[in-house]
Amino acid sequence: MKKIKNNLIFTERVIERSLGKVPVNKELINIHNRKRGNTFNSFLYITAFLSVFGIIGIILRIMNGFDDMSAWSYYVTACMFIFTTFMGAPMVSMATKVARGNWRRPISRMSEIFCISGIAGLIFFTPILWVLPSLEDGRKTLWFFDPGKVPAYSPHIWSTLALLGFVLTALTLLWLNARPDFAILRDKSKGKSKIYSFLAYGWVGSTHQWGSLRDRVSVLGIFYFMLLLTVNYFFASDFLMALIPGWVDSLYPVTLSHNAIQGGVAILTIAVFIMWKWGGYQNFIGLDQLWGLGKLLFGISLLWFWFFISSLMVLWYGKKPNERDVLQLLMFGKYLPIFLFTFFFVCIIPFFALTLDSIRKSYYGPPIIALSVLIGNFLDRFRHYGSAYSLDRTIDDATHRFASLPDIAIPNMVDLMVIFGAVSMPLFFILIISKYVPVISLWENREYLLYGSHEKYYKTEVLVEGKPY
Amino acid sequence: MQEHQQLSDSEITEDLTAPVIRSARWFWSFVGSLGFIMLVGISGYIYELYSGLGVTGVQRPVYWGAYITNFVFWIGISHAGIMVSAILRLTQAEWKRPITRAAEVLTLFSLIAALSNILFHVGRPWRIYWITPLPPIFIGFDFARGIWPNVRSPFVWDPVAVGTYLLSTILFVYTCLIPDIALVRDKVKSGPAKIVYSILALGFRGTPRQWKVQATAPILLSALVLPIFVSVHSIVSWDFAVSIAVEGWHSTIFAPYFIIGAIHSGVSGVVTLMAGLLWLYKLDKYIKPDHFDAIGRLLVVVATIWFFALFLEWIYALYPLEDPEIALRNMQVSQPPWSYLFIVFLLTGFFIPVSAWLFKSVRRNPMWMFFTTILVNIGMWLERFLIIVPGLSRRTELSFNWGSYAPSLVEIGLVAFTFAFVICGIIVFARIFPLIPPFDIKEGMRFRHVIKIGKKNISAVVRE
Amino acid sequence: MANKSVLGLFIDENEAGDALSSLRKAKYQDNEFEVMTGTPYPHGTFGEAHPKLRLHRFPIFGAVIGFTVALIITVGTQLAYPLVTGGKPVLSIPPMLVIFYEMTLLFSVIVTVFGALFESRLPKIFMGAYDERIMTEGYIGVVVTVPIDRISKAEEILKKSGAESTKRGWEEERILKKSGAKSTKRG
Repeated sequence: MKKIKNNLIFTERVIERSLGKVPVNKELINIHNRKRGNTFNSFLYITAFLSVFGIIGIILRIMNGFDDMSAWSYYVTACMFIFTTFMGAPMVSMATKVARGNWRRPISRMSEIFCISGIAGLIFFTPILWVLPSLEDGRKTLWFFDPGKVPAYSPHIWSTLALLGFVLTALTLLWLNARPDFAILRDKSKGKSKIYSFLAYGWVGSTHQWGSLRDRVSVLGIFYFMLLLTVNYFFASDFLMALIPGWVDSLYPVTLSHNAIQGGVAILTIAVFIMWKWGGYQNFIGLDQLWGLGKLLFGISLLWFWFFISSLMVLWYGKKPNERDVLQLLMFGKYLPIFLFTFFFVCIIPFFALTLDSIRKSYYGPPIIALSVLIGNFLDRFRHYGSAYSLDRTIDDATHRFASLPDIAIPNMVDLMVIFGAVSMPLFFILIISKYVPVISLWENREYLLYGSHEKYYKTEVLVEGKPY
Repeated sequence: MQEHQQLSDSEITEDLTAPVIRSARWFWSFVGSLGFIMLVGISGYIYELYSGLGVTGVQRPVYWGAYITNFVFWIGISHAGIMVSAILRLTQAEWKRPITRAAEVLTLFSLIAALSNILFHVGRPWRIYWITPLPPIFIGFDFARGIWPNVRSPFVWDPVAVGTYLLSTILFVYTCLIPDIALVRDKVKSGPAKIVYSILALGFRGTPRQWKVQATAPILLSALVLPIFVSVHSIVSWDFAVSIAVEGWHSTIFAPYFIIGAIHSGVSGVVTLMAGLLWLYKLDKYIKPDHFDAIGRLLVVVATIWFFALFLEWIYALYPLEDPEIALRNMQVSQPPWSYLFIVFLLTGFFIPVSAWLFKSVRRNPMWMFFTTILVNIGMWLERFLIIVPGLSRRTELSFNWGSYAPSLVEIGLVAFTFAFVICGIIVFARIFPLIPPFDIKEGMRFRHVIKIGKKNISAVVRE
Repeated sequence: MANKSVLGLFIDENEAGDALSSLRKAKYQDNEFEVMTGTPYPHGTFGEAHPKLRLHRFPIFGAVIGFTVALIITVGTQLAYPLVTGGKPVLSIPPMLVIFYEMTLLFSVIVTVFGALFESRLPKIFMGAYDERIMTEGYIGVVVTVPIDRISKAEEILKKSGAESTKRGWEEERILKKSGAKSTKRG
């Protein structure tokens, strides 16, 4: 405080900063360029092997034919699992960028790298187009089927387009955000500079380029979010709800998008933990990142309960025959154990564990909880898609109820191949791409040197952070 | 924020406690005219008490009208207050400082206004205590009441949730207010006011321990109040959604749809309030175009999500292709007067304001923001009206007689009463306590840094 | 021996911090002196001891109380007069959840607010040496509360460290002995 004309005034503290003499972080480049160890390679081979296994599974499944929908229940579950975990992870980068959180910087690239798993999603999705019958079977649909006026394959057409748009947007986002890093690597690394100069696509870091990067990323980020909602909207309606007669749940599309983001945060938490523990990035990833993800996971898990109870309350109170059927099918009938496990893994465990400071604010707590969320997320997908695809859709005329409810299907060999393939293939892509794209953004980390630092504040030291633009 | 001005502590104290120390010139005339509106409303209510609910426009089959619409509306407004304050506190957004208190106070008074609507709406308000689970021995004189409240009824959840919300808001506001009451205690020279403020300030002295509590407790309370806030409007929405009797109500998205709508209308209410305060108390040193800009961007996002929820609500209403539902939707969009209201609702609730907010010049202009946010709230009031009234007035197989609904003068008077009450409440609150927390603003001055990069100055802040 | 307090008013944060270290050097304990400011500063600005808060425990206590109350309201009252309405079981879980949820949170909030007051050591009836300018004008106060024989030395230290002015105030023990004494807020 200073005394100016009898008034005490706290003068602004000015910090001068420039990047002129600060080189690009050599350590990060070295970690990126280093020869990958045995663990990395063995993981790469295992995931590659399982992916091939998965593809064989897909072929076997196709050879069995598309007529028996119940045989496809695990397949659809596995495919949807890709979209509701791997493809939700990039949302963390988009959302924290909008909120201008500086803690995101070390994890935003990892989050964007998950965009690549969209390719695996597309591979697994394609056969489902043949599984889903045309609208001529008389089921209710979003497209309000009217023969002659509305194409009978509307769900197939529009969801494919949306999905392609989604995956392309994701890949573009990944590339755009990584472009400045490719330019750095083009100039700094030997051997691969040809690939990098192609990927950098003439990046020189002019003011114009930086400005347009920022604009494009924010516009595409919004697009990504909207497409995530759209894709999940289609998946929830025509690929699921329409297959369960009498299920009208206007909330479920939002719930599914929410599940996707929850799964995304969970898998990102695990990825960040692996980077911290085994990736050699201990100097860059700290408690802040895992704690931040833990907080996100906590909030999102609370929302899970809210979405769940919002749907349950209305259907439970409604008590119409179709509503009782739906509750029997998805929750309280034969799928009760699956439902209970889902609830436990995806809501109860994260809630009670992450309430505790000692778990939320730790290195090991959030990833373990994230694992539970992922298991729960898979079970949740199975609870919905598994039951919908194996449901016998005949309605008893006398009771207006389903004639029979499906049993929980036991996965056979092909199903297991598909499930393992669906989990491994995105991981395989991510591992491959991490060889070429730095998993910690070089430029975002360097940028932080401008905006964040520890400064002396009288008798103590504080973290001062600026939030530009 | 480039428009920042470093102010001395005395200046901040002087500026922000001025409305508390002496009445502004407009104060009594303003409060007087609001009081007159309230008086008119109350006389209408006395008339209603005396003659029964027949004096309102509700009749078979439209049993719910302006009061319930208004109830939902004010519950909606009340949401933003805490939402804005809690979310900004949890994310430690720097621009929260001048906004939080005003938002919380808006919550407080709009909740009371919402509750008063229930009192207006029920036939025998003197039996309102039946909703409490007090054992019969406490109210033994009341022989008609031998049973307990039915917890399976949404109308029992409502008072539980709204009561919880009101009580928590009061406690929340008070906890965050203590340092500022201490400031006013020290600012007021003598007299009974000094004694009252001294008692309310509880001997607050500003030790590090007390400030640490002031930093932690609001965050902790925000984390506790946020789930309450989510539950309150969900429960209000379930008043409608759990029933299967009325088409258009039985929809699972109602809880999130109401919440996001509440945030939409409530954050708009906060902006309206901010602009009003800015002009009334000449606070341009504290509320800057940057604040409007930030909140305007938030509003674009909220409004778009709300619109998506509206879209889902409609699409899934039509999805089962059931005749009554289609007939209702048809009535809402194509049958006057509902169709006119529907167009006004869409334009004011979404299209006009959101397209205006896309422009930075609009977002940074308090006048523009003031009017666009008022438009939003006109739209959102109509939204609730269009959910409640057309749904009830549609002919169904078992309705023996049907009529339409138009609010009576008494209802209009009481709706006006609630608006006057909320505005008056905030103005009177600002006469007693600082509406912009001086200690928070002073903290902002101390935490502020400037990072100089080349020719550019970037504002930075201490993170703890 | 009765405690007495002396307050030094500082303008500069560094000087206030120096006063604290000089007091420590002169063998004054950390619980004998306090900084007072009109606004929060980052922790440790004056080199003061970090206060340990246990605020996070309170909501849990509250939650337990609230849960019990909700149990009585829902299960207790419904079993006391079992009446089937709307074809729902007398003890239906979904609606009961609502009451459980609200009551748990309500009592958490209430107990947390009491916890916040407790942790702030409020209400404090006798404020000791205090000056209004700390809140209104931004002065930094350092108050030393010690037995009467060590007070002059403390005052000296405060002055030496650069206090603009000092003032003395009585602490509660003395006040209580003097029946009918007025508040000592103005020292």
